[in-house]
Amino acid sequence: MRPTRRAVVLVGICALAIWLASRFGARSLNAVVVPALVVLGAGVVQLIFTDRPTIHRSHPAPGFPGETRTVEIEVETDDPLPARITDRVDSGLRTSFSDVTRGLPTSIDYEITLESRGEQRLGPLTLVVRDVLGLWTKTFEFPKRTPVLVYPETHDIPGTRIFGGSTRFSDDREQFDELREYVPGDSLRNVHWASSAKRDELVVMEFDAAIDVTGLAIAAGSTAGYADEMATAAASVATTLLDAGLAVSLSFPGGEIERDGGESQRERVLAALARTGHGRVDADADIRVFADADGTAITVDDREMPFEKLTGFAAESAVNRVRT
Amino acid sequence: MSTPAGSHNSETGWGGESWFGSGSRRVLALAATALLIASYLRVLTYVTDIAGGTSRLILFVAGSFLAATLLARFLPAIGALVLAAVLFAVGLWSYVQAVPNGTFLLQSLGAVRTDILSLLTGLSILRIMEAGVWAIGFAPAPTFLAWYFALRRRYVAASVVGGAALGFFVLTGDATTPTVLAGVVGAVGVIGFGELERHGGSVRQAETLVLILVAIVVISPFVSVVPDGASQPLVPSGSAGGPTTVEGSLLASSNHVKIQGSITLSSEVRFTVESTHQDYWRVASYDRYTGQGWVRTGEANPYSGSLSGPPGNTTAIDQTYTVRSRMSIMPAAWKPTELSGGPQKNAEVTALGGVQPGGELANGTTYSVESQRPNATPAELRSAGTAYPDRITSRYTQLPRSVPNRVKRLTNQITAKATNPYDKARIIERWLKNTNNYSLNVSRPEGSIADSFLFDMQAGYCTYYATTMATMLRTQGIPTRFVTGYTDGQRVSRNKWVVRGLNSHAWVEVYFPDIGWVRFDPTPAGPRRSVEQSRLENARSDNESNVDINGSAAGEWTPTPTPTPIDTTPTSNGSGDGNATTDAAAGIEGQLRRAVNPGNGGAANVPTTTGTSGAADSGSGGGGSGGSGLPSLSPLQWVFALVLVVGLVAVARRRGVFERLYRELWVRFQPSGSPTEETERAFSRLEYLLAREHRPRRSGETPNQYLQVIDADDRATRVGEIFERAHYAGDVNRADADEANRLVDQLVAEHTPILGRIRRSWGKSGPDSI
Repeated sequence: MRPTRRAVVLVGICALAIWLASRFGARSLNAVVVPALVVLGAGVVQLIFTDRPTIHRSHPAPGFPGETRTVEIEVETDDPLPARITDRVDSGLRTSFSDVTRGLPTSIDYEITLESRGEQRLGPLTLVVRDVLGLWTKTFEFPKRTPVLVYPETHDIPGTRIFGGSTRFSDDREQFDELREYVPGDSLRNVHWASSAKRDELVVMEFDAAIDVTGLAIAAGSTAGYADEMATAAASVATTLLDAGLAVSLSFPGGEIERDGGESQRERVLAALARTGHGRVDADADIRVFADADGTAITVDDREMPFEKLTGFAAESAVNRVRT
Repeated sequence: MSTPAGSHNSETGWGGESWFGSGSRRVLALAATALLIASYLRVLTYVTDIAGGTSRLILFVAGSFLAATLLARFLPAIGALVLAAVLFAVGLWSYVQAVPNGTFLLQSLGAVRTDILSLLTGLSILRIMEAGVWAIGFAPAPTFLAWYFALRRRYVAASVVGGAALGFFVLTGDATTPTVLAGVVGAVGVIGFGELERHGGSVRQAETLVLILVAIVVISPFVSVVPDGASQPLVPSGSAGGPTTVEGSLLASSNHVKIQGSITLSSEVRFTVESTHQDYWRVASYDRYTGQGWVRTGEANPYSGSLSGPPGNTTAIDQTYTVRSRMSIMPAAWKPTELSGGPQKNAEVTALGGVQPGGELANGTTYSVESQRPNATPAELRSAGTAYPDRITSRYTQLPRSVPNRVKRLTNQITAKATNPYDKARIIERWLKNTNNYSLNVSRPEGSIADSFLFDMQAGYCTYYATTMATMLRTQGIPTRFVTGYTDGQRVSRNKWVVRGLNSHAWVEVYFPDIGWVRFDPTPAGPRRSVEQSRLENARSDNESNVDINGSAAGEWTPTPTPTPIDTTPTSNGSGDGNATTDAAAGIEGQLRRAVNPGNGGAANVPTTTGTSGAADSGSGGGGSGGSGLPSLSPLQWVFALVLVVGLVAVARRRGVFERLYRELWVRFQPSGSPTEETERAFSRLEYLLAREHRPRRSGETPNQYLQVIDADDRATRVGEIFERAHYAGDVNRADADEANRLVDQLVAEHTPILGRIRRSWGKSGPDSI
């Protein structure tokens, strides 16, 4: 428990009043000193009986750089006192938070903007509880931190043809395997509207299962200091393929992800690439991504091309959009 | 980026929080600011009430509020500070202009500092000249600034500004304890409610604050932590060679008279005097009447050789005083013109023409005074006219606004036939002697002394008589002042008088153009003398020390002529009053001595006040309040009681008493409705009862399961059955509902704290737990 500046001033006034009273007569100084002592004492009592509040911080969903998230903090306590709330965030996040003083219990929310790839964290939170007149403070530290995953930046890659000659897969939608009846859960994207119109019921296209099974293996590596570039390139490639309905597997420095498709695979891949560091990967792969001082290169079937070329100007402008 | 968006407090307290929105918090914070401002304005209105200018003060304060309210919308803080500084400077300047040769005195920076220092160390505002103008100059700046800050939500700043203004009056000693407490509550409230308003605290936080405020009010009057030092402001005495100060010109060198309740006085010999004529040995005079006492304004200057005498014919009186116990006063017959002897070196002359010693006079000190007593005949006094100089009129006809009009009406009636100031004075003097009884046992009245003495009190002593006479004369526009000193004392030989503490006295002096100040004594001399005499005899029989000196024990020296040369009017009311005998003695000496010489605490003759200010409850002495059934409380006591009630309510609320009370009533009271409704209500009553006894029903637990788990008794189970039928099947009739109600009533009755115990012990069988 620490006195605030107000308390120090108040004690000073009391001391002055007592000195003046003893030197020049009491006058009504007692009516100044006694209330001052009452409020100082009341402040001490309030804080002595203050228990550690409990804090609940919401877990913001992972996201790409430039996205914003709302963080909610709930402070619960039985002691109705004001407190100054300070919540710090890692440098990879931009925050709208500025210290606030609120009467407890309370809940506050603030915005964060995801900025740098990686597992960023919210916290630690500091609660400086004070008595109702702000004379004493008691500080509670809440070191527990809440992680926020920031995916690597991804750039649009127009089309997937580039990755596989022509035979192994295609995103050509006409190359489907069969038509079947719609069942709940099918993506509307796959509805074959022309056939549906003829049949008076929804018909979906079933793509060639071989494509799913085949999928593509991606291996990503980099030299020191180029992990971000590597992650961006690998994530761009992987998401492009996944969005195209393909399955991918990923080998990255420090781990690998088995071949799979769909939304969950997308999250796994992005999460892995969000966290990964640099390193070389020797696994066999259909697509190799490698970043070093010379730039980021994509190698497909021994054909190497710079990542920038793959994304083209569209990607450039997309990056700009995200960054502003 | 914006600041955090939403905030909401969860509050489970009974009554919710809707009534306590941020609007009401702001209102409370502003109300506290207003209370703080009102506290020091109370002091200022007290000053202007006495010294004049109340209506202008109100106007200026209203203007400050208005300006702050308007400017708070757009004026930045720095602008407000500058504006307040300008207001303050203008106020001070107008004051300096109003004071004689004020501008000249402002040139000395050291003098200003000394001035402020004197005020801060306890010099009352009332003792500066033109105090009303000063108050009007002072008020706008802090009022404007405090209100401005409160409106701008800078509550701490508002509290600091208001607190500083109030603190100033605490230091000058003009703010009474209730006023200060009100201001302190305001200052704390501003900060507390301001925090609530700005940070959105809960109702419970507000309760904590209210409890603190109540604690302040309740504890402060009963706890004393501040030592009481010598109450003497750092007023530099205008001793020879000292620098001329602003203070010196504005302030009384010392002292005021506060009128007390019952008093007792010493029978010790103060001094002896050898004089060519018998007279009153005058000590001090006062010009400013506060309604509760007297204050002298203006400076005291070093005695510089000789003083001018009164303008008209005079009689010379040569006196030689021998001090018999330490004292810091210098008695002298009016009007002293020349001093000699040891004390003359340091002697001072007050602004009102009296003399006082520079320090304490030791036992055995002697000094001589030559005085010129105005010698005008009644005829000369009658024809003196009313061509008073302005400085006399403005200084000696001032009256507080608190003096009610009836004083003036009564005086008009009494003096209706008199055509000149002298006749008026004589009539009033005689009227007072005849109308009121002389007694030392009185309760000090709450309001204006003169008004109380005229209309409420049956008895009083010299200060009451003199104050009342001065007030009455002033209502007629006749310059009058209040004078303290000693009566002639015991005459031990033709030219020698022994003067004791009990001879101290108060009277008035009235100004007559071209003649000067003439003494009038409205106190009935007979009763006063008999009280003094009996006190003296008691002292002698009790062998008190220093009662007699050589020759004085032998009794009064009887000259051939009449022994009462001064009091021309016949004494009336010889009966006096019986209760003013044993420990009572005359005069105001203690005050006179204490005020002049704070150091001599050992003299042990400080008047004891029995009728304390706060306790006007029964009005015993005044006989004002009849025997009404209710205890009559003063407004202050009402406020105190109200604060106590608020505190109790806050405590009760905090402990959930109201919710329990409501529940207790609810569980007993059933409005009628359809059988289904009634059954459901009966069951929820039962649930409340059981929850208190065992545990609340968990959500998802059926009534039946619940009743089984807690092993409820048959009646409760039966109510549960009826409820389930009502709730799920909607299949209950009036008889079922009545049964459920009856059973729950029974259970409630059994669980009523005291009554229930009796009923249960009447052998109602069945399991004890429900």
